[in-house]
Amino acid sequence: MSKEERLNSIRSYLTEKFHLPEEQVREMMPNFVVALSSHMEKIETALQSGDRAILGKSGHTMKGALLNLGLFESAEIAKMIELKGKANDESADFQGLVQKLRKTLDVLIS
Amino acid sequence: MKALIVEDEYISRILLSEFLAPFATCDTASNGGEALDILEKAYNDNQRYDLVCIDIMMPVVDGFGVLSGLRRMERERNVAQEKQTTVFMTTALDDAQNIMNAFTLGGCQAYLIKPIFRERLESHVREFLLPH
Repeated sequence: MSKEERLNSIRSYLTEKFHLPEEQVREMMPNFVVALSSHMEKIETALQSGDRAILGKSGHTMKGALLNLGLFESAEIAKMIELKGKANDESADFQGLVQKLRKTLDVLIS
Repeated sequence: MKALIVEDEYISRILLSEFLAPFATCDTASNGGEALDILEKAYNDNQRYDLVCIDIMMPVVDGFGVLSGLRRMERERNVAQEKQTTVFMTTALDDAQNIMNAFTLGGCQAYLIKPIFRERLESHVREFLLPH
């Protein structure tokens, strides 16, 4: 799916589920994409730091944002990062999860 | 009506503000510490909030800290229970322990799990804040 198609899908979700006017949604979207990009960077910074608790918190923040935008597949990955981070799960493949999350969002935020 | 939205995540903060705009003048705080300062000032200026929407997982002070701080301010000022600020917890934490704590320890009026849809928020506003 192209970036424009992903954006259209999010716009439709916000319009239909939240009953927001199309024009308003269009105005909101650039800042929403910037917010997603910032959340992704925080997750990647947390991954590099090796601090699983911070990774869990960053995953939680990202999950909330993604749920608001109807990006449920990405939200599931963020939730796994959240839960495994909070549980301080040493066996979890955080790098793989973060890469997977980045891949699902790359077309939007790159 | 005056509402305070306490939310560290930008998208959630903007959407909640939009949903509440038809009902209330909205202020926002992006962490719990900022929220407590705003609530304290509002009480001191006799301009208390009718509704506070509080996220739970936040930096500085978490949502439970904000809720207990608000109730402490009310106790210190002998605010009658029926005049207490209405609190909706607005969070992506969906586990039973957090939900139970919000009602039993903090005395919130509603617990809304993200994604929060306009209809659900509006129905709670009508139930708790608008005259029937």
